[in-house]
Amino acid sequence: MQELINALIPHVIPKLDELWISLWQTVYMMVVSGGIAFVLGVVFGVMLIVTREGDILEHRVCFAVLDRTINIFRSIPFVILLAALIPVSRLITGTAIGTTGAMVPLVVGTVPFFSRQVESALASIDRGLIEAAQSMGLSPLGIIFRVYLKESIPNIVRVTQITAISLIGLTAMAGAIGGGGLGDFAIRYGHQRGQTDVTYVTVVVILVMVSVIQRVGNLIIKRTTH
Amino acid sequence: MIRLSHVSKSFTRGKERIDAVRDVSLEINDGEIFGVIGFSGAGKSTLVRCINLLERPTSGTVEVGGLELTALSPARLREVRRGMGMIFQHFNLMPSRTVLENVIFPLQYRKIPREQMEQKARGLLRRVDLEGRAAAYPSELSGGQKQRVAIARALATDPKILLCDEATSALDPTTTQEILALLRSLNADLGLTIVVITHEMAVVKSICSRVAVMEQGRLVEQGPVLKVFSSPREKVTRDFVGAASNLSKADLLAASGTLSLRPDERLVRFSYTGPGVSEPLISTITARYGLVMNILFADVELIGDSPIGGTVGILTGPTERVEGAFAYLRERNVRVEVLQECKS
Ligand SMILES: Nc1ncnc2c1ncn2[C@@H]1O[C@H](COP(=O)(O)OP(=O)(O)O)[C@@H](O)[C@H]1O
Ligand SMILES: [Mg+2]
Repeated sequence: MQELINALIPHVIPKLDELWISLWQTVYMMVVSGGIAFVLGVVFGVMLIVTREGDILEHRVCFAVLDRTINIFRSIPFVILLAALIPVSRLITGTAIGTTGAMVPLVVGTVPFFSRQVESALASIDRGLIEAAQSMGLSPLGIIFRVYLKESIPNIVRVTQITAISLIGLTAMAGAIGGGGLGDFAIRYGHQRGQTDVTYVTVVVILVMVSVIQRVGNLIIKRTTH
Repeated sequence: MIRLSHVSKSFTRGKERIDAVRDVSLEINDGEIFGVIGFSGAGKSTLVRCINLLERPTSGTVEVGGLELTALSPARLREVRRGMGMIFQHFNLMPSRTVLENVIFPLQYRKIPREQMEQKARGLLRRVDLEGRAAAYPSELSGGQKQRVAIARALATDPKILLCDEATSALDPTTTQEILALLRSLNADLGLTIVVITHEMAVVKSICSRVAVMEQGRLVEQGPVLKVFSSPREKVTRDFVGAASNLSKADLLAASGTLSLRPDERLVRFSYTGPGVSEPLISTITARYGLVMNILFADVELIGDSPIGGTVGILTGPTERVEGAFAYLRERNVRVEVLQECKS
């Protein structure tokens, strides 16, 4: 057995400690940048919905500014964002390298996409529910939390799954510029030193992460859909 | 008392301006069931939404219980809205909440103990005959049950007014009658003022005491249901009555020219507009004036406690005696129309 493993993945075994560290670096980047992006994305998604024409806090200027800004940031390729945000990273986190240095570009790269996803999740709420809530005397804040967000939980979980999975891809790219994590690990050994088995093991680890995200999400969706 | 004075509401869609409601003035008394009828697009929904200011009128004022709503701050307006329940064609229940949670929903703006809210909600569910379904989700209910949950929810804040926008339009006729019966009993037991928006004359006839007819944003006619429907002044009202009655077929018959009459014959329509239909009028006049009536259509129904409807037929006899019969009928609140006579 031991021999078989050694034959199949000769270069991974000596680096198990490093693989473990890389995995945690990826998880760390996912949790921190994902968490921040989740909060910002929900806030912006909600703002896009409630300030649109005919909605509860209609506001032309606010909507237009948010709408355009998101479009601009969405059209910048992530690798370019990584380079372009170096000064901003330094300003906010004090560093532009390592896992901490990767946080700012990861958040900026994720929020526009996720905001749009949240927007479309909330847009599928029936107007009638909003009207009913208004007729019952709910305040705008009450409508946002008790109708828009509450009724969209399954859809928000669904778009969070999609975004989290694409965030794994972004952390791998961030790793390539010194962010650490699984992407960095695979590129340094698998690609640059031709240790292909390292690449494959990394892929398997990432697949496991993806399936954990999907399972947890699907469980929540199932519990909250009636 | 709900008082709308010169309420207008227009929307702009692109460059186009849509006048959904035009200069509507209306008074609805406490404790009455008031109907607003009109064809689709007439502006009924916009009008009813002006009552709780879901739609802010472009001009005019809305007064409810002596308060001028258009002048209130947003917070005061929300408070006033809690005194007005609203139900909708598509029920608008919160799909992620159980029946019980839906009924509690409008109460949660205050810090009331949870048990107290549940107790209140269960009482309301009992009132609408759904106590057994408290734990169900809306998707598990029939249309009629959903509307009853919506009614319970609308009543949770103890409103004095209930606004119903096409509340029975998505329901089958039997369920419609059940919902209407529930509304009628709420009106009788709680003294609830009910505003009913509909495009169905049957709904107005079965529960409303007064009705307003809307067409292209205007209120073209209003008054007691019996009066408006028995002697409609406006064409749109006649269309509603006509669509619900066989008697309008007589106009088509007269217009088609297919009927050929002898000199002592005429096509007549007697319309009953008040009490008296229980008397055998036709047999009385034929016997008393020596006439013959060949009945083509008869259609009589009750609105509230009063009958409306009438009889269409060919009346045969000499002119003087026919005139005598007509005078006798007119004295008894029967409208007499001669639709076609022999062209001699
Ligand atoms: N929010 C809106 N924006 C633009 N037009 C509207 C809006 N609401 C209603 N209308 C228009 O106003 C008119 C009256 O609509 P509505 O009050 O819904 O009529 P009804 O309920 O009698 O069918 C229609 O022509 C409709 O298209
Ligand atoms: Mg309507």
